[in-house]
Amino acid sequence: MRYPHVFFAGAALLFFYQAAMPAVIPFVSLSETEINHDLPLAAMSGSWSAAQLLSEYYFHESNYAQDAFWLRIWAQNGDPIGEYNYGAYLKCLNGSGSNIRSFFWIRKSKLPRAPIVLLFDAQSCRTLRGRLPQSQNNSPPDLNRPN
Amino acid sequence: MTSDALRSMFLFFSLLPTISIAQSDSASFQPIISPAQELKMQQEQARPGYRSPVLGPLISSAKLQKLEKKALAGSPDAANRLSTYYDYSVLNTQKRDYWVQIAAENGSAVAQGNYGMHFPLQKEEQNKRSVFWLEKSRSNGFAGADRHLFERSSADLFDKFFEQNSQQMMCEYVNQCQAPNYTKKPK
Repeated sequence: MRYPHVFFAGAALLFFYQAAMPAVIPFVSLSETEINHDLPLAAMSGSWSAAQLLSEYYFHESNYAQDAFWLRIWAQNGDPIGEYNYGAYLKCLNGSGSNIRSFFWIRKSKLPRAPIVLLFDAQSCRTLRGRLPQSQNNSPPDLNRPN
Repeated sequence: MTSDALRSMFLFFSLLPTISIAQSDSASFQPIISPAQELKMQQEQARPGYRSPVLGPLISSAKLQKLEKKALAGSPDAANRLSTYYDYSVLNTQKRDYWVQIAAENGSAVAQGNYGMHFPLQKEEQNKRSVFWLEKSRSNGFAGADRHLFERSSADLFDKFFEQNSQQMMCEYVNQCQAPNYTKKPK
């Protein structure tokens, strides 16, 4: 290595920048065409990351019906993290059979942290409170996207 | 096997006992159908989508609960059975769609095909989703998905062709592609 001091200075800078990063990272800004056209098409075609972006975008926008819809698509597309998140969401839903279904998705994700969801209590569900519907409506979901 | 094929098989076997073969001099065999059956068939032919009130067997509520638990826990067979139950025995399309979706998520190739066929063609998003499920069902070994995939892709191709050539097609249809002005311009 010709200039090791440059490399080490850069590494140190990067390290301290990471440490100084804020705990809450602001959500990336998305254009209207991305939200309404590009990302939904990609997510519906099976893209993990597009479904994840849409789910997180609508969570930040407090549109929880859309968020739950894209969360399910994210899980259906086969991303283990999406399956885990959807399982955690169902665990807190308290609907008829949602507990059994949550176990199905969590087992499918095969993540090492998956068994933690089984220990979820009211306190841990409160962190997901945005995603839970206001009224516990157990009717089967529609095929169409919510508005 | 598609639900349409299952339904036609079910109708065929339910109508079998009522059919008797006419003993006539000619070699042609003409089935004799009771007036009620004939009326039912006429109704079905006159109104597409009409379902004759011939229902499948009922399942007890205890068994239904067991099946629901099994299906939610990940059994594709139980979810398929529930979807056919709500399709044939108790006509509840909302519940049928719900259990078809669950069966598709559980990995049943037939249910994935059926769920893929379920989406309407009009919206681009839903068309993509149907192709996603149909490809999944084909990869899981459901041969019936091929025809529907071809239909979806041909619809896509037609849409693109129409977008490119719609103006030309319309003017050919109206026969006004090049409207020649033979009249002299007024001075």
